[in-house]
Amino acid sequence: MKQESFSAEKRIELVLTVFVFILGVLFIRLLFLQVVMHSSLKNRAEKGQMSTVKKQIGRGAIYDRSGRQLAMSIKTETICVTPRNVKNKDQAADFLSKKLGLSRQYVLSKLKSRSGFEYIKRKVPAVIADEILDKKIPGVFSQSEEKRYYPYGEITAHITGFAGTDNKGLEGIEMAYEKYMRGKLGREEIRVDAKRRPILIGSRKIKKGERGADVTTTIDGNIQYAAYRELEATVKKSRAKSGSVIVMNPETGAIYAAVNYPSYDPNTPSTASADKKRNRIITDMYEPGSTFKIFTMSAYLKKFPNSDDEITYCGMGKEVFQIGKYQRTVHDHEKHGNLTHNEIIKVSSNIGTVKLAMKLKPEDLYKEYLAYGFNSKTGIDMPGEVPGLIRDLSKWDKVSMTSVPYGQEVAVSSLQLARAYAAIANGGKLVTPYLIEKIVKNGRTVYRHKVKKQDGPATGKRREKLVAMLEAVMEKDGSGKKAAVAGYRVAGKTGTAQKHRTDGKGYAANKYVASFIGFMPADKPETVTLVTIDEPEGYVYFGGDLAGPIFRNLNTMMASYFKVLPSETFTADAEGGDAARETAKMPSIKKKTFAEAKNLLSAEKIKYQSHGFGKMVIAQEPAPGETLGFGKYAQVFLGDEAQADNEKTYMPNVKGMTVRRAMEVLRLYGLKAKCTGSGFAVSQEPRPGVALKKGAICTVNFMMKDGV
Amino acid sequence: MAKAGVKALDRVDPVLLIDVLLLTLAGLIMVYSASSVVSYESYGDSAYYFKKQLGWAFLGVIAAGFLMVYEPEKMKKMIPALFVASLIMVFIVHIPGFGRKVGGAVRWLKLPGLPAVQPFEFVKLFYAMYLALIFSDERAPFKKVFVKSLWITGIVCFGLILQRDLGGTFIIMALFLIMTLISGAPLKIFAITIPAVIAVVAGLIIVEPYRMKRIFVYLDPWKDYFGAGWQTAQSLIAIGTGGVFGMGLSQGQQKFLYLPTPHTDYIYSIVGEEIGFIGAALVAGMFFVFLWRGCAVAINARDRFLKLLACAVTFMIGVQAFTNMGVATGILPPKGTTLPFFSAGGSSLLISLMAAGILLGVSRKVFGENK
Repeated sequence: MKQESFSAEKRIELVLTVFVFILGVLFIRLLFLQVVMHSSLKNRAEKGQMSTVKKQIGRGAIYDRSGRQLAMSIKTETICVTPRNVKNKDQAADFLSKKLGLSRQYVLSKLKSRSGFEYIKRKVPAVIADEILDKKIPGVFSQSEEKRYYPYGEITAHITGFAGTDNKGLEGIEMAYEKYMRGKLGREEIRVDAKRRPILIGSRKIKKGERGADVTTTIDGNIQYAAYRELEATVKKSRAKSGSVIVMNPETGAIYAAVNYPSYDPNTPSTASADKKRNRIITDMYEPGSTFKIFTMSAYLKKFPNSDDEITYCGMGKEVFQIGKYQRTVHDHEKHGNLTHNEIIKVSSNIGTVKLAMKLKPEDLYKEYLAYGFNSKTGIDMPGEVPGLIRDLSKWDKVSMTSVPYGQEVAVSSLQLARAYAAIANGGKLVTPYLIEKIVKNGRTVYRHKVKKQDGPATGKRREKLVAMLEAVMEKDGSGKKAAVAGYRVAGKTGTAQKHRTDGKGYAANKYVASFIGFMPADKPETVTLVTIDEPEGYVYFGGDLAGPIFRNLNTMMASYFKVLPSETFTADAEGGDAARETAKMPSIKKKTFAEAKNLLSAEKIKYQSHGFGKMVIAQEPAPGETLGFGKYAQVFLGDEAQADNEKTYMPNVKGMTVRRAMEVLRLYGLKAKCTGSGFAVSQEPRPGVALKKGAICTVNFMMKDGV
Repeated sequence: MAKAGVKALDRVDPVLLIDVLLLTLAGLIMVYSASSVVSYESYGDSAYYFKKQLGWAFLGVIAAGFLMVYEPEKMKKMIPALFVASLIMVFIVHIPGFGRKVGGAVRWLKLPGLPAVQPFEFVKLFYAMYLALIFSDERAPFKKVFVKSLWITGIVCFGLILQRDLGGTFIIMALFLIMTLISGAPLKIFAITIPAVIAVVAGLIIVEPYRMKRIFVYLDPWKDYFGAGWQTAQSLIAIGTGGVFGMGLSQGQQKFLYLPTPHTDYIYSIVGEEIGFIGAALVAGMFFVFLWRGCAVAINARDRFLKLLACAVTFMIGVQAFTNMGVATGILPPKGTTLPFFSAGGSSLLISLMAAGILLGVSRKVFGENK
C-alpha cells in the first residue's frame, strides 16, 4: 500500500471525525426535539393519548303529581381492570368474585388476560362498586354510566316517551323537554393506549357535569295505572284495534291520566313499532259521533233559552229529511216517538238532534262548536297535537246539517273532546289542558304552569240544563247506564261512531269508535274522563257497553281516591230499583227447604246468593225480621237435613270472598281453614262440593285483585 | 482459563470495558421498561421480553468473555467458514420451513430445537470480520482484494435485498465504504463507489413503492399522521415529550402501543421519552465512547489484521447505532435496524456483545504488547 502520506491511522481518524460530526447533528436534533419542540410535541402526545369521555350525567327525572318517579336515571358502575397493573391476581380474584358474585375462575381469567383492558362486570350497583374501589386494588377501577329507567313502563310510555342510548330524549316529555332535562355534559379526560383502552396513569377530570332539571307532571300514577289496566282488559276482550283513556281536572286542565293501548315499554323502545309509540290522545282524530250532540244542544239552548217544554217527535227510528233536491235518511236505534230535550240526549236520538239543529242556522252551530274549542289545538304543552277538523261554513254541503249535529263530518282529538266536556263541567270555561306542572332545576323552579281559561262555552242556567241532560244519560233507561257510579251523581254521554271506510267515501259497516265521556260528581266535578275504544270486534260495540264500564270502574276508584262524598239525595240504581225492596224485611227461612225459601224470598222481592250444597237452609243472613240494606243480597246457606247433628259436611265455594267472610262461611259448615295471602279468595282446596268430616282443615288462597 | 481471564482484564482497555458493561446494563433496563406493554399484550407477562433478553445477555457476556481472551490470530482460519455459514443462513430463510415471516419480510431463521435468530446479525459480524481478513492481506494486489471484497459485499447485499432488508443493506454498504477507505484504497475509487452505492440505494427505493412513501413521509410525518407517517411521528412525539429530563423511567406513554416497536427498532425513542435529553445524549455518548476507544485500539494496533478487525467491529456497532438513532430522531427515513445492546432480541444482543468481546480482545492484545 503506497498511500503512506494518508495513513490508515489518519483514515481512521477521518472516519471518527465524521462520527463526531454525526454525533453533533444528533445532539442538535435531540435539542431541537426535546427543548425547542418540547411543548408542541407534548401537546401532540396529550392529544393522542388522552381520550375525552363525555359523561351525560344527571338527566332530570320525571315525576307524577305526588312525586312518584315516572322516569329516572340509574347510575350503574362497570368494574374494569387493566390486568397488567394487578399485582396479586389470586387475592384480587378472591375479593372481586366474592363481591360481584362471579366465579373465581372467571375473574381470574380476566385478571390474567393479555389484553391491556378488561371489563369484569357491568351494571354493578354503586354501593358494591364503592366497596370495591375502597379496597384500592391497583388496576381495578370503575366507569360509571347512566341508564334511563321507566318504573311504570308501558303504562306511562306515551307521557314519558324515552331517551335513546346516548341519553337524548326521542319521544314524549323526554323529547319535548330535552333542553331542560338533559344534564350539562361532563367531560373526563383519561389516558388511553393506542387501541383507545384506558390506562391507569394520569386520569383526570376536566369538567363536572350539571344535573338536568326535574319535570313534575300532572299525571297521577295510581289513576294512570288503573286506567291502563282497565283499558288493556277491555281492548283485549273486545279485540279492538286500540283504545285510550284520558282523565282531566276540569277546573285546571291538569291531566291525571292519559293512556293508550297498545303501548310499548320505554325501557326497550327499539322493539316497538311507530304505531305503538303514537300518543293517540293528541295525535289522532276521529268522528266523535253522539258525544258531540250536547254541543248542538248547547247551540239550540242559546237560540231558544225557554224551550224546556218543547217536545220533539222523533218518529219511528227512521226519518227522511228533504233538503232541496236531496233526501237524507237519519236513523235511530229504537223507535222513540215524542222526546223532550233531556230525553233526546238521554237516549241519544239522532233524529231529535237533527230536528233541533234544523231550526238553527249553520253559523249558529259552527260558532258554538268553535266556542267549545273544536277546530283548534288545545294548546297542551306537548308536541304533535292535531287541531281536529270542522269544515269551514262555506264548505258545508246540503246534508251537513243532517250530519254534523250528531258528530259526523267532523273530526276531533280525544283531548279536544275532554276539554269541551270540561267546559260544561267547570261552569263554562275553556281550559287549556296541561301535563307539565313545574320544572325544577337545582332546587329552583324554572317553570310553573299557570292555568289558562277562556270564556265561550255555555254558562249559568244553560250550562245547568246541559249537565242535567248528561245526568239523565246515566239513568237506568239512559244509554250510559253501564257507566253509572253507585252513590254518585255522574254526567256523561256515550258515543258509537261509525268509521269511514279506508277506500273512500261512506262508512264502514262494522267499524266503530265506541266512546264514553263524562264527569263526576255532576254538581262539583273533580274529573272529566273520556274513554275511546277504536274498532272493537264482535257483537258489543256500543260506547255505553264497552267504554261505560271502564268509566264506571275508574270513577268508582277515583271517588274514594279523591275522597268525594257520596251524594245523599241521589242513588244510582244500576240493576233496576224497586222502592218496595228498600223496606223489605228478611223472612225466616232457616230449616226450610231451598224451594220454600226461594218462594219466601221472591215474595219479598229479595235477591239472594246461595252457598253450599244440599236441600235444606241451615243458616241465613240477615237474621229474620231485619231490614235488608239497599242493593244487598240475602245469603242462603244450604246443607243436608240432618246436618246439625251429623258429622258430614260439604266444602262450600268461597271464591271471591274476603278473608273474614270466607272464615265465617267455613265456620258455618264446621270447617277449619288455613289461609294464605290477603284480599280475595282465588283458590281453595278441596274443590266446592267435596264431602268432608266436620272439623276438617281446608286451604284458601287470597290475593289482591285489580279492579275489584 | 479463569485466571487467564482475570489476567486479561488487567490489560484490556478499561474505558472500553466499562463502556460496554454500561451499554449492556442500560440496554437491559430500557428493554424492561419499553417492552412491558408489548410483552403483556402478547404473552400476558410484562417481563416476558426482559427475561428472554436477560438470558441472551448472560449468554452474550460469556461469549464476549471467551472472545476477550481468545487469540485473534487463531480466528483467521475460522472466519471464511463462519462467513459462509452465516451467508447460508441469509439465503435458507427462503426455503419453506426454515424462514419465519414477520411483518411482510422473511428475516428470521428458525431451526428445529433452536431459538429463532436473525441471520443479518450474524452475517453482519462475520462479513465485517471477513472484510478485515481480506484487506489485511498486504501481499495481494489491491485490485484483486478490492474486487474480491466487492463480490462478497454484492452477495451479502443480494441476500439482504431478497429479505427486503434495506436497513441491513445500508449498513453493509456503509461498512464496506469505511473498510475500503481504512484499508488504504486510492481515493479516486470513492468517486465511483459512493455514487454506485447511492445509485443502488436509490434503485432499491424506487423499486419498492413503500420505501418511496417512507422517504417522503419522514420529511413531514404529520402529513400522513395515521398512515405512513405514524411511526416517525410517534417516535418524534416520544422524544419531544421527554424534554430535558424525561418523564421518568417506566413512566413513558408512547410504549402503550403508539410506537409500533418500542422495545426493538424504536427503543431509542423510549430512551428519549423516559430519561430525556440527558439520557438520550448519554446513550449516544456511550456509543461514541465505544467508537472512540475502538478507533484508539485500531490506531495503536501494529498488526494490520488486528487494526482492521478492530475497525470492522467498532464501525459495525457505530454505523448501526447511529443509523438507528438517526431514524428514531427523524434524521433518517425509517428502516428496520436495531440499536446494538439496547433493542430486545437475542441475535442483536449476542452479536453486539461478541463484537465487543472481539474488540476487547484486540485491545488486550494491542495494549498488552505496548506495555
